[in-house]
Amino acid sequence: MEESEIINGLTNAVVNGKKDQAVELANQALAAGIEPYMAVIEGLAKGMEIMGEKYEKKQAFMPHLLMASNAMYGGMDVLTPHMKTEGGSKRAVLVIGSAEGDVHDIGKNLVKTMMSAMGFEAIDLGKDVPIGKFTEAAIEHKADVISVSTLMTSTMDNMEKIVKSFTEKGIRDKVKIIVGGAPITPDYAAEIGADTSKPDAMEAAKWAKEIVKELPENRWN
Amino acid sequence: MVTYTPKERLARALTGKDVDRMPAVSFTQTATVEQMEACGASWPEANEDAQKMATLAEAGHKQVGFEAVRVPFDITAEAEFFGCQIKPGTKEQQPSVVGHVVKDMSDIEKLREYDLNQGRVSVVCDAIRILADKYGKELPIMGSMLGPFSLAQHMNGDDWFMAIMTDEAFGMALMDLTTEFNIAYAKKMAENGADTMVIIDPTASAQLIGDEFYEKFVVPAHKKIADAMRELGVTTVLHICGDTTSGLELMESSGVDAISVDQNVDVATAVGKVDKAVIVGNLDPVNVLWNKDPELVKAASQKVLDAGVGVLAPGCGIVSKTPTKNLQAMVEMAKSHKY
Repeated sequence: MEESEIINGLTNAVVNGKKDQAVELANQALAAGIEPYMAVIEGLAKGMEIMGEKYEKKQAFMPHLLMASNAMYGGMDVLTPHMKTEGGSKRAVLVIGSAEGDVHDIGKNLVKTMMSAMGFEAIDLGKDVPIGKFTEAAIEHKADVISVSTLMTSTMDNMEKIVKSFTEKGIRDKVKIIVGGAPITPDYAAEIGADTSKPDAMEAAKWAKEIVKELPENRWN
Repeated sequence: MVTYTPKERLARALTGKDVDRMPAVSFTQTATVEQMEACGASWPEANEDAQKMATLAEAGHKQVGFEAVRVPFDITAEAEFFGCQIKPGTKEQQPSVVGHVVKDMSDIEKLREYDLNQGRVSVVCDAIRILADKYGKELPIMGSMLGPFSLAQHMNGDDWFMAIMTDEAFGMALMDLTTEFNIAYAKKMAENGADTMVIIDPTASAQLIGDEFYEKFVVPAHKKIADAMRELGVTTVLHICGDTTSGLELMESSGVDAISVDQNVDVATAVGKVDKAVIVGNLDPVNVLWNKDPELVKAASQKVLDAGVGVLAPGCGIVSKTPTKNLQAMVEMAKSHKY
């Protein structure tokens, strides 16, 4: 198979939510000597981006997005271990999780998926994450973007505490913080000292991709 | 001029009949920490004990001035009933569903036999009985339950959103199970004295799953519940979170009497989109009722009233830390509104 056929195939596998196909083509990409990073970004991630756009236009919905996401991760699991770590530009790092007390993670997972599709390396802390874990992970992984979600009004206070913990550790200016979830508005985000809140995962990922350019490169050294 | 009891007034307002003024109620959860401290019944105990549940529900009427009593305060009793693991709540926070019990068809088969006299669903029915004995002639007795689509999601986990796409037979079978349960549970609440049934189905949103899946999986289920309630003379209110504007016609096609919309919906647009259904809502529970003062609550209420809302109410569950005086401001605005 031609290189372009494999890359397009990866995109289509994601768009159609075919995990088996994505895995198979990812293996073919490796066998054909295609740069794994390119297979991810131009193949899998492009498919996810297409689905994100369809979601915004209401041509695709949660079931389609989840199927696409599954397929993307299926392919990424094959390709990522083969990605070169040395040299080249370092991928931007996302630290993501649901606020302590909140056990919901479907929205968080979609944000992670869309940001992964935009090229972020995602450190997923999961759901119901203790407040201190966010700064800990940010320091360890030299994070660029922190994303915190909650669906529950009762855990919004914890979101505020998470943002504050970055100030207390003196690393607030080293990261960009996005907060989200049903009860969260941009006004609330501003009030608690986060950088933004966006209405959906696609918007969040687009914002993150742009905003990391504002961060000075050697700030973690 | 004709005056009505709060019970008659709400039933008439929800079915589009003339009334003397707007009823002052909340279709979503009513309990707050202030009320708990005033009445001596608090979460999490009030979620487990019928007398405490009734006492805390009553506080909504006595402390705040809601012209109804409503139970329960959370939406996890249904999933818990089927064996889903629950993360317990606190005084300020409702319990959450963290474990799932249905992976495939055989799991559904195992859950077909159940006894509604077990578990917290039975506690809710007992609380309704206590409230109906005390207030049933005067006040609306509101029961609420998690709707069938969201219950299915609790039982199956997030895979549910893919299952409806990849395995229709399984999706339909689980919806049958949850819908039959919802009907039986709602009937039992009605037998115990509930006259208004709020179906809370947060994830059954056309915005999330699209019209096609909503029409196939959700509408028939809600219709069965609405039909069963109509036979018993119980009015139905359907609450779905998020911007449901584009899905309102489909929501109404299930035959529910009223549709509760949250703060993401423009009320005037919503009212224009439905035929008979009464639109209720949609004060922002966080950015208005919880975090503002009574004057701003009144201003926000006036906007919703001017937009033509059928019944002014919170757009989603009241936040437990909401000040009573803010809720009272909303109650006052509703009471002084004539149609």
